[in-house]
Amino acid sequence: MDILQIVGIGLLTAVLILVIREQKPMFAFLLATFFGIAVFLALIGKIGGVVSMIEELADRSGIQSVYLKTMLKIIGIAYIAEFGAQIVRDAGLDSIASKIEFAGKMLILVMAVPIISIIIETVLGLLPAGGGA
Amino acid sequence: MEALGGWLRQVVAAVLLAALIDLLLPNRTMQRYVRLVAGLFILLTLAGPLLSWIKGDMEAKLTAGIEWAEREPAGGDDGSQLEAILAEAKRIGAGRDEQAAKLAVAGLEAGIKTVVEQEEGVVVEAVEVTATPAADGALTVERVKVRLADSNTVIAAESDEPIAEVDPVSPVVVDIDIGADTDKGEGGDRAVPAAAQNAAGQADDGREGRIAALVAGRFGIGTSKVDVYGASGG
Repeated sequence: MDILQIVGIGLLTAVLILVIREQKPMFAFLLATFFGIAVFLALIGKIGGVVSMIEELADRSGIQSVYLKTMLKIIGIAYIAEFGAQIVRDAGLDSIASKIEFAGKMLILVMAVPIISIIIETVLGLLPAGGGA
Repeated sequence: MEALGGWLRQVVAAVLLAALIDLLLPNRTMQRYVRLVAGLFILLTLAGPLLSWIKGDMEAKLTAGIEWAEREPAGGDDGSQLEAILAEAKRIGAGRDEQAAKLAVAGLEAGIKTVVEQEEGVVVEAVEVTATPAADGALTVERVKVRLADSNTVIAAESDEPIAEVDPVSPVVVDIDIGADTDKGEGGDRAVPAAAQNAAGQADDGREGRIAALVAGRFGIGTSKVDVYGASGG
């Protein structure tokens, strides 16, 4: 039933925004932002359930917890960056939205730096000394 | 066999996790980047036994690296980072204080050596200053040891005690017996160096007391804290 509520509130917000946008574009933007935050907060409990299930799965399979934590952080960064970019895009500022997406991509790549460094170190360690020659 | 099973299970779990992450992505813009990281994780899981064999501390290194990567872009929004920064600042401050104390002690030692050599005209072999930091961060001089290069006597100058007065030179009786010249000449020769040594010792006493008073007066250190040693003393 949650989806019905969310869709209902979404339709109502859309109508309100269409009505207000002509008179006060600022309030329309605020309403859209508020709706996004409300949906996110309403679903936070469900997200927690999914995360705990994945954690249990990873624990049982013996996978390193640092992998899972990094993956979840990547998902969080992607969602937050997407959320912020969409809100800014709704306000008509596409350039700012693309900057937010760029920041999200960079932060995801920073997560990969330690893995890349370990792999490169290992590969270099496998090569004999002065391996380039 | 059990290790192989565990490794296989880890690989399957990593692939499943990567697929789930790919599914959970909000849109296509981040997909390439997330796929890169997920692929690296799968690669790391596949090469895990090899990496552990080559580098024993692979897991700890990876954890430290990821913690660094998380901390770096976060911008100090959690308390643990603040605590870490404060601890680091405290450690650096303590190191700087220690370095400053060492520098001050070295400067004081050099100053004492220069003053004693200039004022007294003696060669100072070494000056050793012992200082302890007080509660307010200032240094308190506990002991100053001045080691002279050309003296054999040891004097510990005390502030409460006045410098020992020089005993009057006792009359030297020289008994010359011409008749027993060859027999007693040797004894006479022995007597003169003994008297000379006694006089030299008294001269050293006075000089070392003067050095202690000089150091105390110039550097504001209590004379009880200044010890002057000869070359072989202490």
